[in-house]
Amino acid sequence: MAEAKSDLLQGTLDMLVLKTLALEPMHGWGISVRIRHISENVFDINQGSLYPALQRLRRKGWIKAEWQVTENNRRARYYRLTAAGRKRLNEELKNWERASAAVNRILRAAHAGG
Amino acid sequence: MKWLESLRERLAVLFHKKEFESEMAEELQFHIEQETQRNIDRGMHPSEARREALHSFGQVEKVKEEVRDETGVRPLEDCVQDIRYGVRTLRRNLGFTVAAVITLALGIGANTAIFTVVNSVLLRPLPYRDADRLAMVWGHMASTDVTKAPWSGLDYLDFKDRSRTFEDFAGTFAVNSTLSGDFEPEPIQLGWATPSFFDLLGVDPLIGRTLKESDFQNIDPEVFFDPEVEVPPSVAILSQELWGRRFGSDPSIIGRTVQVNGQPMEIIGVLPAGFKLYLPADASFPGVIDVWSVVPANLSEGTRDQQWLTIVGKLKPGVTAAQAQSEMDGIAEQFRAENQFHENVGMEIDVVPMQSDVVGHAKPVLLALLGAVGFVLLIACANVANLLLVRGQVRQREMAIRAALGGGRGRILRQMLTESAILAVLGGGAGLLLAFFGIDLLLAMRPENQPRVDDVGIDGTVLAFVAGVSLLAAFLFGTLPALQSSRPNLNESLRERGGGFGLGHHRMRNALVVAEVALSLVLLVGAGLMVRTFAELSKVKPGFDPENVLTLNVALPFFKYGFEQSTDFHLRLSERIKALPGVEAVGAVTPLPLAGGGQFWFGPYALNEASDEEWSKNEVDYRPSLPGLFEAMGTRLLAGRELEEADNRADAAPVVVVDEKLAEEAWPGKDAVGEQIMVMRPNQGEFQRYWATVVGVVEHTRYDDIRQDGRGLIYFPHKDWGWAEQNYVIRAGVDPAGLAGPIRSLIRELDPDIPASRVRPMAEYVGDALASTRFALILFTVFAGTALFLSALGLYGVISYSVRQRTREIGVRMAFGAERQRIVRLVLGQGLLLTGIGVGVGLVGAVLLTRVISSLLFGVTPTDPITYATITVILAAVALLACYVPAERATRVDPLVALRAE
Repeated sequence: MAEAKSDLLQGTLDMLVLKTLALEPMHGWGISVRIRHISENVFDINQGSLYPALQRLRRKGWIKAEWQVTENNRRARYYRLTAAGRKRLNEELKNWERASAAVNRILRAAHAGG
Repeated sequence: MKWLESLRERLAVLFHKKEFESEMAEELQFHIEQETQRNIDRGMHPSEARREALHSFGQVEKVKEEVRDETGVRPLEDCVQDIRYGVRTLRRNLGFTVAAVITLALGIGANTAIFTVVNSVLLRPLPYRDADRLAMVWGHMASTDVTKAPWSGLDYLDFKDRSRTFEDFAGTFAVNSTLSGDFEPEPIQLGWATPSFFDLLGVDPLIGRTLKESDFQNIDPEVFFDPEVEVPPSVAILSQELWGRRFGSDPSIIGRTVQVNGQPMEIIGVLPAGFKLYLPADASFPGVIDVWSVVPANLSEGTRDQQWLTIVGKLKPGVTAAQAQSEMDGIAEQFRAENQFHENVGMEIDVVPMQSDVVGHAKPVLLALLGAVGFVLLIACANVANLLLVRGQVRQREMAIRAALGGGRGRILRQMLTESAILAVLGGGAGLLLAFFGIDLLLAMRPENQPRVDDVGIDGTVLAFVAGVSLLAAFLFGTLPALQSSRPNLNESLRERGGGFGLGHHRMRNALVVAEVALSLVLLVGAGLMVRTFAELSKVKPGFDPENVLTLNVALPFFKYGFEQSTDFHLRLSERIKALPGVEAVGAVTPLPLAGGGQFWFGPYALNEASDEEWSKNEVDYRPSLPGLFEAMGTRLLAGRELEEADNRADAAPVVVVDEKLAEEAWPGKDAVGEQIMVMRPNQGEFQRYWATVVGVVEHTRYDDIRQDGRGLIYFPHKDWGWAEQNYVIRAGVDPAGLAGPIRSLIRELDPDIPASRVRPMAEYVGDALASTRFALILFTVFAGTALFLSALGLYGVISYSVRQRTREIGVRMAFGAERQRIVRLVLGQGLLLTGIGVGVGLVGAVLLTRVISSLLFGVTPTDPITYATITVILAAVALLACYVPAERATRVDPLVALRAE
């Protein structure tokens, strides 16, 4: 049971990361802040779980990593979307929209019926 | 190029681990520091800020592990770690490791050795182009059940003409010949071949060329027999061996002329090394042909009963042998309708793919050996599994700790399997080494007429086999112990708690030992049956006495000697040999018994004027001979007299000597001496029928197969078959090997152009006939012995361990006054119970499986009770011995020590 839940979470997290990076390249902490901010803390998962996700996305070739210097002259690993990553994001977005529209219809229908 | 990117990522991680780790640490550190700073900016106290940051981050080490998991190289890293750990463990328990590796090496090595032979002999395709399309076309004379008969020239032409399934045919015939030139004449094997021969086989010459259509000339056969007329020159192709031996591998040999049987031949090419025509042993085609030439005769002349051509055919692409066989069945029907001879003998045509023809006889033996050696491997695996199971119990503590530290069951399982794999690799390597020596040994022992044994070697297929077998072995012996080790609770239940000397809870180990005993029994029964077979074969009376008898072949060149001169020569030579000191008797016969070629020397007989149809119906073996034969061979004369010199005079009355088999068949119950029999002999290029008087009856001789009686025999005086080569049979008072030299001188004195060939003691031919049985026997015995040894070890191990486990119980019993005898009996009882069950299963298995080798047996049935009983007793005795030592040890337990220790 726990497995299925984390799978779902995994997929969602991947999408969030990709979306975040679609706007601009960012380091890991920055991504974490942005996600928390935009989702208004709904997704308050362990921050650490971001990093395995980043590694996974790197392995799949959807993001690329590069060490750069921040505004405060600190070294940080910046991530950016690859072309494949961008493509993947678009696909996922379409799937998500389709899925949520379907769920919406089901729920509405149930509601209307009941 | 997504996968390329990811591959690069993975390789980067693998090879730059330190960098990966430090970068990851830095990145996570960065995150935490940034988060801490953020918390401080929100107003938290620095230490609280940091605590809060760490808390919402999660466990750093855990995150690091998860990141490492996502790199995709984890499996590989784990594997490497498993291997390193496995090697360390094995090194720590060197005794166990060595025992296991040696056991595996025995099993795998034996299997590899046998498989190498199987591969080279049975599996490898013949060294010709499109070898799978080559098929032998044999004659099968149903009336006399002669198989693998050759054809006449007319038959060959008919095949070429009529067949739609074959692309082409080639025919060949071997002739004992003499090679001469500006050197000492030497005896060679000459192979006549139709021009299509080398193209059909797809053989390219080393230098020069092979035959082509234009090489064929139409030579009148008379020319060969007339010493006055010069024979037109032909072409010759040398074997690579002859080229090296006689001509020093001189490349300018092409174009030179040599004489073969007095006929000049221009050398047009040399064949590649090792070229030979692979034919089954009973086709009587010589293994080595020194010179090939084109058939000299016009194939459309001659008669259908002059069968001399061995025919090979090449099937058209896509045509199966079965299809060709049906077509040939139709052609055979046409033959029988068109030709009297074919109808008389009930001629049929057998199409046999060349490869299966060559190896046919070897197949059952090799497959049986492969099965036997497979059993040895199973037993070896069972022993190693047992060893691992014991070690598994010993390592319980280690496993418990690992489980406590979070090593999942899967991980432990993987670790155990890795150790098994390492053992298997070591065992496989050692086995391969053993196989090297084993193969040399096998080849040294091999019988002469085993097909294709000249190029047995370890090649890619064999290496693949070793790898495969090692893997299989690892799976067989490793799985069970690994499963058990990864379930510590099960181990608990394996502890013996009280109870009697029953089988206890060591079910797995006991089952393994029972299986080993059963397998060993089957192998031992097989070996026992082979021993009986060999003994029975050795007892067979072949109809002659080979002790102190020397044989040699004297073939007179037919271009120099006509019938009369030939007879004269042989009689004079006989006389001279007889005069040598030490010689008791001299005779000659063609061919020699058990030397091969016997089935070609046959002919018809009749008791009254037979019509043409009936004439060929009765076929017996014909044996041209020289006087003194029976005395020299030690064949008993049962009635009448032997053939004499006087019978060889040109004006002598035609006589023959028959053997008891023919006598019984033709004149049952009567005395054959004095009877008339119609036989045939060659006369001026044709076969002439004539009446002969039977002057003597001798005991039957087995010529073809020592296992079978064979047909009846008619012995002719040499003059009736004047062109026959003769094999001299010389009986001497002592070992006649020393006579070879003097005899050669005698021959040289009479005619320096004539060599003596195939000088061998007669006993060697008998030995060869038994050779393949002896070969199978030795191997079976070695395997059975190894199996028995390994099983005894297994049994010893299980009983020893059981005794150790029950030390406490033994102590209790002894404290309560049990005598040593009783303890011994208890332990032995357990051992014998296991053995008994194993024997029971084994006997059933043996009865079912020995059917497989029934074709190898002689004089004994696969379910021979004596063999089974003897083997069971032997096995039981060995088992008893194996159990006795631990039983003995059990009695030396000091009850006080045993009771205290727990």
